[in-house]
Amino acid sequence: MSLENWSLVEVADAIRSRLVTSREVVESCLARIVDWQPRINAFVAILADSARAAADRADAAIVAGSPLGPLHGVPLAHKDMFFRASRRSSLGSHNAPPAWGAGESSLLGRLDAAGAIEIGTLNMCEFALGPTGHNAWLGDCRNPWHTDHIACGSSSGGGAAIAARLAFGAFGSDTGGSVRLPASACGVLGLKPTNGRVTLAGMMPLSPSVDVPGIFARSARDVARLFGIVAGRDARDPRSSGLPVPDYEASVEHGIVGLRVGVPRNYFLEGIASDVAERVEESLRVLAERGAVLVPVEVPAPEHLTELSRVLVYAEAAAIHGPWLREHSEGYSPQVRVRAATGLAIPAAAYQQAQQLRPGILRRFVEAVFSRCDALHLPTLGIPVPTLAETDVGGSAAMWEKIAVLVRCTAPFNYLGLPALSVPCGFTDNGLPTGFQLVGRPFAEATLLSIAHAYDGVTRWSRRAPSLPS
Amino acid sequence: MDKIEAKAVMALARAQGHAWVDEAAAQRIAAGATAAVAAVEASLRQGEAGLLIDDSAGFLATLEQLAEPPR
Repeated sequence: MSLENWSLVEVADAIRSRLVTSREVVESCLARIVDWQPRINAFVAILADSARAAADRADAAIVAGSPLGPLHGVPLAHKDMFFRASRRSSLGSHNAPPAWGAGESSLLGRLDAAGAIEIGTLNMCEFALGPTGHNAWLGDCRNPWHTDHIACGSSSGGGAAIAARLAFGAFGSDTGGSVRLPASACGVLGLKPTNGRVTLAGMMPLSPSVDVPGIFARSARDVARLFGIVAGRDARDPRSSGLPVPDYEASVEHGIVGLRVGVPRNYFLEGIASDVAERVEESLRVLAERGAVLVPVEVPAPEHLTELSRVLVYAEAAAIHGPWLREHSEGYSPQVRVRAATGLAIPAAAYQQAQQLRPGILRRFVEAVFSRCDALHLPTLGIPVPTLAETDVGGSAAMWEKIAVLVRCTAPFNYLGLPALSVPCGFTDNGLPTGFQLVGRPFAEATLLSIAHAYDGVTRWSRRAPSLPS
Repeated sequence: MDKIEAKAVMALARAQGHAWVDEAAAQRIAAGATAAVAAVEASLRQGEAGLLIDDSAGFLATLEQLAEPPR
């Protein structure tokens, strides 16, 4: 197997055992980036020189017998909204306020401490507002499986780069599905952790009540390794949880015999495309063969969850963007300008009620669903991945409808704050990847990862790589 | 619930200094805000007013209370 197809854990182990050097791994990624970037536009910036220098330092540390972190010498890339003092993040815009992006991301600091190498910053939707991957300023990110199709968003570059083997893992943000949708569309795994499990300090805020950093990788074990490094309390983020962090990497081996996988009887399977439904059904059969017990589950009042989430997101986005948008509206694309301003028309009382309803609705959901199952299983994206042209609606009247179709199965869990993991489960009739989603109780990421590991260990959909387009 | 009208959005936008909001933008904002606010109203009408027992500061605490016990 060629180097780029190794998993993150495999390549980390190979570097540590001197089977390969970090410099060789970085050069392999950079060579692929040269080929792929003109076709899919996954990167905002390629940090070749600093990555090479970091790789040489990593290799020297191995020779010197220095202590090595769990990501020693491994190249990663992240959505261009995690801040570093040494540079200015684009935030997916050409028009970000100068003061935004200052500071240092706690998450990047933890990855640095684990020995990771940052090989570049990744494309994203403007200010993380958009589920398609279009970007009027940085250029659209394209799906590596078929470049006429969207990579989904808003963490578009994360899905595209990891699928195309341009890095071994990536972080994005997920406020309505922005990690899970690109993961599903590009055929990789995408984790949205429980809100509060991973620090927000030094990450561009869109809606701090709802935002959460998320992970792209090509195996459950890879996700587990990255997650174990960044999870846990951060003194810089008062919204972060102090609950103990389990050994996620060990937990992927727990097995799933007897685990109850819930199949929703209402809402989430309604109206999904037949080829998506077939792949999702097939994934359930695999899980049952591996020992999971399938349980039908009635989901309480799912139809309002997406809009309740929007109340929080749009009100908070309007509060954040309002002063800048008022003076620099021409620097926003039409769709993002409207979405960032929708909160101007949401009454403060409605925002407060949506906040006050949230703990009770969460409690009711958890009691109704997770008394019957250990994880809920549903599609990530209920339609085959559409083309860039089909979803290029700008700020037109079709905007809300297009967005609603894309986030129908993902945004509810942002309101609920629950962990959700998108797992690739094959290809739809148009040749593009599709995925199923596992949703768990709060802080149940270990359970989701063990199910994904059991599934992907058999099917290995995530090990399939797209071919370089001609 | 009546929908939020575009002219009301324009008035609100102007009051907050957003002179760029034209009729077309106001219509899109009105549609988005109407759907979002309707979901809050529907949740309250569905007998969920009793759920208004926590404030937003309690959300992380609720997540932690409902956390999965270790396997």
